[in-house]
Amino acid sequence: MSSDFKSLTVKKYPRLPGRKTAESRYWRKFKSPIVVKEFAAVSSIHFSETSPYDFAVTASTRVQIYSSKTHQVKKTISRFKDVAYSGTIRNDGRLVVAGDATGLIQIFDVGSRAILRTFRDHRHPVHVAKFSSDKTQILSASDDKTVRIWDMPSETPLTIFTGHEDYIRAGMVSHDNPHLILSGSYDQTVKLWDMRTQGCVMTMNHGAPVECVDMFPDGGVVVSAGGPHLKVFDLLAGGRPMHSLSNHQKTVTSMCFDHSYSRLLTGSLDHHVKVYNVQDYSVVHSVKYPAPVMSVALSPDDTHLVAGMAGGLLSIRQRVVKSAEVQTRRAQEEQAQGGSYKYFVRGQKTAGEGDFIVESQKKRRLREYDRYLKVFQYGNALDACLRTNQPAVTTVSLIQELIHRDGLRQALSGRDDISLEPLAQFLVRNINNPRYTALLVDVTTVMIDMYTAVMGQSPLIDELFMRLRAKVKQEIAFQKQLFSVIGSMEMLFAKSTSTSVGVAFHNELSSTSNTSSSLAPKPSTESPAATIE
Amino acid sequence: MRLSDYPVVFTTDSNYFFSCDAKTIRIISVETGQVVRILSASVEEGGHSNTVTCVMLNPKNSLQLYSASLDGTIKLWDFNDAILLRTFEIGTPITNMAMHESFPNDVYLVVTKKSTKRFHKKQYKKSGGLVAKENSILVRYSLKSSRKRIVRLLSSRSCTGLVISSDGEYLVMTGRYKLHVIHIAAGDGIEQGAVSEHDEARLRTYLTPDRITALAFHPTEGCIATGDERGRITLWYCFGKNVDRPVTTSMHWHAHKVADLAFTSDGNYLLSGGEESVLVIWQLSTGHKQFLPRLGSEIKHITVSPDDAFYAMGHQDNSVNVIRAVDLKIKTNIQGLKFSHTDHVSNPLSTGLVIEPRNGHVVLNGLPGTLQFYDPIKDQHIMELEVFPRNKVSRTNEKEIVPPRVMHVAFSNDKAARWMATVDGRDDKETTPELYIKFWEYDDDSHTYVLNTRVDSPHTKEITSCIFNPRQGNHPPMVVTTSLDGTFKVWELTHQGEARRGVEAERAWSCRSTGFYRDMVPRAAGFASDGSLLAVAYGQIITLWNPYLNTLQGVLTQPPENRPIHHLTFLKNSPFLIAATSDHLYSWNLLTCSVWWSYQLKVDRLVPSQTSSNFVVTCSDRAQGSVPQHRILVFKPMDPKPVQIETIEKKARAITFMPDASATARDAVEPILIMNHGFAFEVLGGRSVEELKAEAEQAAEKARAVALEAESKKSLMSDIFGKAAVADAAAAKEKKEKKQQQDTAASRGMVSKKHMVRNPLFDAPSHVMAPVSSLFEAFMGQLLTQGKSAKEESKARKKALKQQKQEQVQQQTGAQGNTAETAIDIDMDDDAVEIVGVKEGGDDAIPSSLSKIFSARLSL
Repeated sequence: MSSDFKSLTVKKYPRLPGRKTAESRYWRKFKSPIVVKEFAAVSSIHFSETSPYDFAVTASTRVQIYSSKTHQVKKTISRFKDVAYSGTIRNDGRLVVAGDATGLIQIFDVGSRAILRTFRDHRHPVHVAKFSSDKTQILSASDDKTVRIWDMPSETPLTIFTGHEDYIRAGMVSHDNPHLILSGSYDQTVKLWDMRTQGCVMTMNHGAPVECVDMFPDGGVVVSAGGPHLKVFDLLAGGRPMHSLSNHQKTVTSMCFDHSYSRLLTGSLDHHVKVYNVQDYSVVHSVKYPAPVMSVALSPDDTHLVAGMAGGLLSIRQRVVKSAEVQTRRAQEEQAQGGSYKYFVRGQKTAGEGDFIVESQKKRRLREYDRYLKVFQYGNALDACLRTNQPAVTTVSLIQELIHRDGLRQALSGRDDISLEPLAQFLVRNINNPRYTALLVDVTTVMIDMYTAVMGQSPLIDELFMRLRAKVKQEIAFQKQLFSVIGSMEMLFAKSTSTSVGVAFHNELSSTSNTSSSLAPKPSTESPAATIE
Repeated sequence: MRLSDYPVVFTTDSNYFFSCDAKTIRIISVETGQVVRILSASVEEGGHSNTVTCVMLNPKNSLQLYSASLDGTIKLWDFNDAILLRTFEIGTPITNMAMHESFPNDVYLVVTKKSTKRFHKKQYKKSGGLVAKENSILVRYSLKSSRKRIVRLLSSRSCTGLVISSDGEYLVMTGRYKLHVIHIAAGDGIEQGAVSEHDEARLRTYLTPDRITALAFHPTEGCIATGDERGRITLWYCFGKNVDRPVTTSMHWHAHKVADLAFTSDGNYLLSGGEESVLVIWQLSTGHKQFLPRLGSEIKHITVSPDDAFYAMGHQDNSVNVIRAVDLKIKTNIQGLKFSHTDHVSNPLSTGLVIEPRNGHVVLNGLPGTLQFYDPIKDQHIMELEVFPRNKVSRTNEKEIVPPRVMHVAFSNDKAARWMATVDGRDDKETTPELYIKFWEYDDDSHTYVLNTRVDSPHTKEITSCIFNPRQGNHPPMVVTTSLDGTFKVWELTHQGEARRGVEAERAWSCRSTGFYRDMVPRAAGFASDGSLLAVAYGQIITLWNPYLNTLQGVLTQPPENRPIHHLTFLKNSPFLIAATSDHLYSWNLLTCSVWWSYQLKVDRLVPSQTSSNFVVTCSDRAQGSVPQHRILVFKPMDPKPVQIETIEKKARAITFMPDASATARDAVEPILIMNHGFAFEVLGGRSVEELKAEAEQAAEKARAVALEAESKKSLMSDIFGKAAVADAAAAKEKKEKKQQQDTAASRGMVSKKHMVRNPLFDAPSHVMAPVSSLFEAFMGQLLTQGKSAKEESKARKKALKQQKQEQVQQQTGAQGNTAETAIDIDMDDDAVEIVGVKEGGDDAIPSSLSKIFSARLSL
């Protein structure tokens, strides 16, 4: 069999549980936070639903419109006599509504910042002022325990809902039905109002002063936050509580959904923003902030995560979107447009039943180190692997392959200090990785063996050897500590187990690979140290 | 099968080749790779009684074959009918033979004076093949009985090659550092006796600095090619003017010794191969080299077929590769049992013989780092599985590269044998030893096992056993390994991560629990047949565990003796546990927790039956005399009296029960499969051995028929236009008449096109194809006659089909009145047949018109 050259098989190790799930990898992409200092606590952040997704930040006596492109303030609206609340942009991105501590509700034009409408019926601070999904109405909720729906053109209240017994600090209008209004109050209840019956249709008990409410777009499930708790109610089952979560240490102040309503973000006074998977309401990620989080928002295109904090800090994290993702999203949007030319010619490239398909044979491209391996240039292969910034596991696999071919000495021989440096660096970096230790100790022994004669001639290599030695010593000390811990733990286990023969079973958590490498005694680790000394 | 110990020989038509397989000669079809016939099948019927070393076609009659053997005889065979024609007694072991058509009654032989026995021993030690033959003697033997038969010509040390030049003038023999050229046609050479060292007219001897290992004679020029130990190929031009000072050309590519050399019959190319597993094709006029690398194993012999179409290579791993000369692609690959040709010191048979439950094949160590699946009944290689994947590279210096080893293999006990566990590793005594457990899942698409999980260094020391939990049902499979590090580990299949849309959760094996008992070392483990009880042998103590709850259920202590238990097994459907130490055999009854019976026996191997509660033991005892006796004993657990005792001459290398699906009686002992000392499989006992053999024979017969058929069908025509063009038209039509009635002609054209695309002949450049003038006759003749006969045949078939259908219709209508629909359907089918028939006629018109064109062009 004139078989093909088998390219180097890079070892695969199992992922360790609990670290780096796909989820956390995604949320970690929201990086490089930009921190802006505001005058006072940021009470509300709201994203415009139209591109370019600017967002309104309400802090102190002003509402600022930030650009999500430049992260700079585009407009500042400061025509408030007292502390402003709940700056919200209408879904067409043209108007902003905000309440303030005097009970005034104002509508501004985003472009000119002019006050277009004013609503003055509330006598107490208005903490909630939002646009209804019906474009001509707004919702407001105030500390005077009322919820009002206003008609924007006429500046008159359409409906006044009374029923709450304490300050109302949360409210929203259902997305699919502008007649349904949800409100949450400090009287520890969440109420659902219907404009058609002009009254409360459902009351759900949250069990703590409600700080924030939200609703899924289909209007069936309500999420409320208040105290350190998060509760989920099923409206279709008459307000039955579905979940009750308390993952935060302190009061949850703010909530938002991501673009697809598959994740829920909560900000809390305990400095954390947590991300829940709404399938089972498990926390999949959590972000720590330097101050109590007062408000949190995620941009509609899932690229910006903005959190406002109690000390007046505003943190903007941006996720850089790859063009591929943009394309898939665009492709998803373009799908199923019936009647278009694209729809007409779809599927022409797929082969029919009787077609004879000539498969094109792709020529396999070998990696650089594989090309050197193929022509038995072991030293060059190792250099190529170290030079091209391959992951450590590739280099380790290559070294293993060289040992299999009896070519390790050949690969290491004939090097000067410059060409030996990358390998020595690699050893220093990775010798304490339990997965590679055994192998790299072998390599180190061979290297020391070959180059002791010329030791002291190059300061560069000498320094690396010293660092290697220090690293090994440190690791040995660490192993000793581990052993003492294991010893004391075993004593406890022995006390607690009932079996008298001195038999102990312990389930092995770490699976499949290196089951014992990190805990096993490593006499071999000491050998390089000895040789170095 | 020992396929590659000696070079293969092609028949004159290049359709078959002969391979020396120990005492027999196999005739193998190049086309299919099937064994077509076996010569010298049994000693009783006149076969060779020792290894056949050399075969050669009779120069007078190419349907006859001479074979020379270490038993000191030459036999002449009619290989078409496998008949022994004559036997010539030489008396001393023959290692080489040469003949030439210009003196068909003389045969030149190299015989050795060493006793056959010692030679044989040495040969096995070096794992087969020709080894240094001390004191070779070149003799001439006359096949005609009238004169003095044996003439001793020359003695040399360790002859490595013997050839006669193509014109029959010279005989060349190599031995160590010497190249002897004997002018056999000088004068009346036949009458002359021994050649003396000083007879310059007849003998010339050239010395080389390195030991000569390979020899070939140029087919057209006076040139000899030798290969030496250091990998150099030397061309000697030592005839004519250059007798005293031969002109030599040396070519050096090989890093190790050149194992064999061969010229193509036109003499333009020289083929060489050796330990590097690379076939090098030298173009002699330009010095250009072409390589065929990574052939899998060291090349030992190279043979070029008489028509230059194929190169056959014998490999170190007991396989023969036939490659096509045009595109250097593999034509046929025949493999024997690989384990017999590996180094048994570094690669012992540690897996034993394991029966794969899916097909009943035997699984055992192959080349280092691989497993071979083998069919012992048909003596056929099934597949090779690389457990430790690697590129085989040859050593760079004298030191051999330490190969990996496969230590254990086990299969899950379900019928489908979905899972396989292997233990492999590599220890070169310098670097950290590698040790892996690998779990493989059977892939239905590729019909092989695919790696699922690899566990790096699962134990800190060597693993002593690896067994599957045999429980049935819907549980995740479970494996237990025991190791010299004092622990045993339980492995289980688990789901990793969560299932996503459409994608199943990743499955992988992970360690479920680890157990140990005091600070003792486990050497064997066994599962009860329902999987509820795990027995682990720690020294002389058997510990019983519940594998699910990880609790120690009990401890059985052997009667006072300090020998550790090496073998431990439960028996199917019985409460007995069999344990064997180095000199005792115990049968434990677990119901009473007592030893039921015991024997003083030196147990080598202990294997339980998969279907009944029998078990088989191989033992050797020195009770009578100093010669150890080797026995195979079959026991039932209840009874210390063996059910069956067999005595064998030499120690069996491995033993197992053969799965026998047709075994009816419960008490019947299944056939036992033994790998004997000579690495051949034997089947002992059992009701159906003969039947199995017969079945295998039948299957082989069928295969042969297929091979012959394929052979007969193959023609120049089919080579060019693919088989479809001349394929049975009726067969093709039957399929089509139901599907595409309109496009018959079109799709026919396409089918033939498809096959044309695949035809290997077109892979080759056009200038190597046969000239059109030679193709034309065959092409036209085939096209015309074939077309006609096909047409007639199809017509006949059509008629028969029609009749049949009409009968059916009649029957149906007669039986039931309401089957009108089916009748209509069939009627429609009939119409279709007619339509197709018309089209056929149209098709047939084409060749005749073609022939007209061709004939017109010819007349021009």
